[in-house]
Amino acid sequence: MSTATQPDRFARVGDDPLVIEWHVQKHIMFTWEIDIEALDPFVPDELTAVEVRPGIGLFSVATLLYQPNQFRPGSPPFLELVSVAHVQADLSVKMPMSRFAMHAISVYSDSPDFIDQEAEKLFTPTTLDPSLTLTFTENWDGVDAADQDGPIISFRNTNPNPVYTPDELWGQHYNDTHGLHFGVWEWDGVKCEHMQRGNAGKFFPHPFFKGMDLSRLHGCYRQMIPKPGSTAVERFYKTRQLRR
Amino acid sequence: MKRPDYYDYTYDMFIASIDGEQSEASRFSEWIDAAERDGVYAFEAPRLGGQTPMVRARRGDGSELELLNFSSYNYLGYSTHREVIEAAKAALDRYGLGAASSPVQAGTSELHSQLEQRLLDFMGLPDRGVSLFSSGYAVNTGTISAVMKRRHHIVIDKSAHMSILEGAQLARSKVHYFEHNDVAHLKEILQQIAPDGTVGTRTLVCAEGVYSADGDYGKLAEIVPLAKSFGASVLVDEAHSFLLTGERGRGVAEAQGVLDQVDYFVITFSKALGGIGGALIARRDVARYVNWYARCRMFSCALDPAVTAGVTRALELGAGSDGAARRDRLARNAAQLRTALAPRVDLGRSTSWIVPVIYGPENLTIPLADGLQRAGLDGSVMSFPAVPVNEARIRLFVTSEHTEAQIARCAAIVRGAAGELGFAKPERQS
Repeated sequence: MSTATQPDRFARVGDDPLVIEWHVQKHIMFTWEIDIEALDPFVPDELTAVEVRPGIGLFSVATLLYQPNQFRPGSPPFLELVSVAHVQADLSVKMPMSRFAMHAISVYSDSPDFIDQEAEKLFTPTTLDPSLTLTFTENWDGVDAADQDGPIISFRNTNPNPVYTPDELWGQHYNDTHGLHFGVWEWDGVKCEHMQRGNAGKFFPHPFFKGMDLSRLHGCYRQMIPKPGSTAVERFYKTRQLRR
Repeated sequence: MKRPDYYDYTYDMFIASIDGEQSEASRFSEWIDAAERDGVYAFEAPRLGGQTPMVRARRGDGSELELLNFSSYNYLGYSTHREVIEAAKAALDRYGLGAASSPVQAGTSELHSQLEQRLLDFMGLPDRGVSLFSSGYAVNTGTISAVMKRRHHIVIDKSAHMSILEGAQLARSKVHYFEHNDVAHLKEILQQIAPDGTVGTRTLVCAEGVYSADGDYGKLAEIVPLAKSFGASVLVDEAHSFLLTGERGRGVAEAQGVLDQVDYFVITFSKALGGIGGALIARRDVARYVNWYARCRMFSCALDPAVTAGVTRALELGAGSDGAARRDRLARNAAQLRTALAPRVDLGRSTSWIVPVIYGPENLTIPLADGLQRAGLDGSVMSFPAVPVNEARIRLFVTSEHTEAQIARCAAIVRGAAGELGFAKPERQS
């Protein structure tokens, strides 16, 4: 991890300074449609789940393989598996327009250093899972996640002709572990984002989902896959506590 | 030169904000203001005349442009037809401007009764009834919420119009979505609702004749019998197909041989008929019930007299040889445009008079709409979330009134824009 080493425009957003900058080797995020009634119990009262069609909310699972040397020279690469509910943003925040606002539901990582950083800087409820494995496909367009409790997800890209473009996304994140916290994130990298139909994979019953009714999930709404061989950067800004 | 950040904005970003200051409204306004300041805002340019193939429009900076009009769904040209306008004028003189009452109170006039009868005659469904609405959107919201309630099931094609979705939302029924035109997926959902083969709870399947974002036909010949085999009712919205296809112009349900099996036949008067409003054609007792229990009908003013008379005349014309000739021209014109464009741009699934040109990234929407207008073409652009991400499109509405030269000019402008903005297909080597 490094802080505030990037050009000035990333050093702060509004009044909030950059606090974490992660360098990502591989990453995949698939967003799924879910009955909003099944998602709502995971969303704090202060927030509102995005409803893309009447009765349908959005649930994303992202997988990330981070580069080595982020905590100290020689620190190993590490993994993160995160699930979020898409929620409405707070557009009064002084920041570039938010593309997504996400409320963290479950976060697993195999890195104690990562857990410490997330807890200290972002108040994210990350669970240490040394047995977590992420197996990316050869083209970086699919991933299987599993741990000692069994398989968790298996995602596959459904776009036979992906077009990759550089992108800079801004968004907001919320978590509700030690009170409700809010923060701004930014991502830049080269990705293909699409909504092509097809068999995008499956979910397995697993404690990672915290009792969510997986039968209420419908098709895959959107897929984001990285350009093979590219890297990405994720930046997080100082969080604010909205509720104790 | 770096493109402005606001090129990357999409409609969904402004749908709501959790703060108490309505920041979504101020941020949305800032977006529009920025595009207007930069002189690239091509939307909402007021027309200075009727929806003819050539129109004049005024941009935000006050400049007036002469435009090829491929953004209006006046498919058969009846909106500006002399006889239609004369009929509307006569009704205006006799009945005044507005109906001035709910249709179930004093708002129904003889004009409405005549239109209802003409619709039944044209459809060849004498045992059915008609419920007139003052907007096509309201036909779906009003009908669906009147006949469907909590714990009922509504199964909707994912590409269906927002008015169907909103009707389902108002009904508070359990809503299911099947992948667009995916009959196997529909069957899967119906089997979940009715494991023993027949629905035990009221179930409505909703589909369309022609889908407005893709310009493709609904697979009604498969969807309607499938739904009926499970005991479900079927609503078919023929907004973009009524009077435009089928042996007698009755729509896609007629063309595919399932017209008499459709329970709720929904049409609009704002497309082929060139007016405003819409109608439900259903079992006679159901139409009467909807007249009284569709809240947006019961609690709004009836369709205005001038439009009612104009639409009636348009229907009379459209039902006869004039309509047949216009339908032929429409089909020919649409084929000409698709043929001219298909080698150079992606037209998706279009097989109709709605010709989408898929340009892809949302961040081309503002410069493309601006560039097309300045080149002399008005097309209707759509981007995420109305269509999938990275599948933004120019939607070209062909009409029977476009000339060959106008269609060729439209295609040339689109091909030029595709080359300039990078969404053209590679040219074939000869």
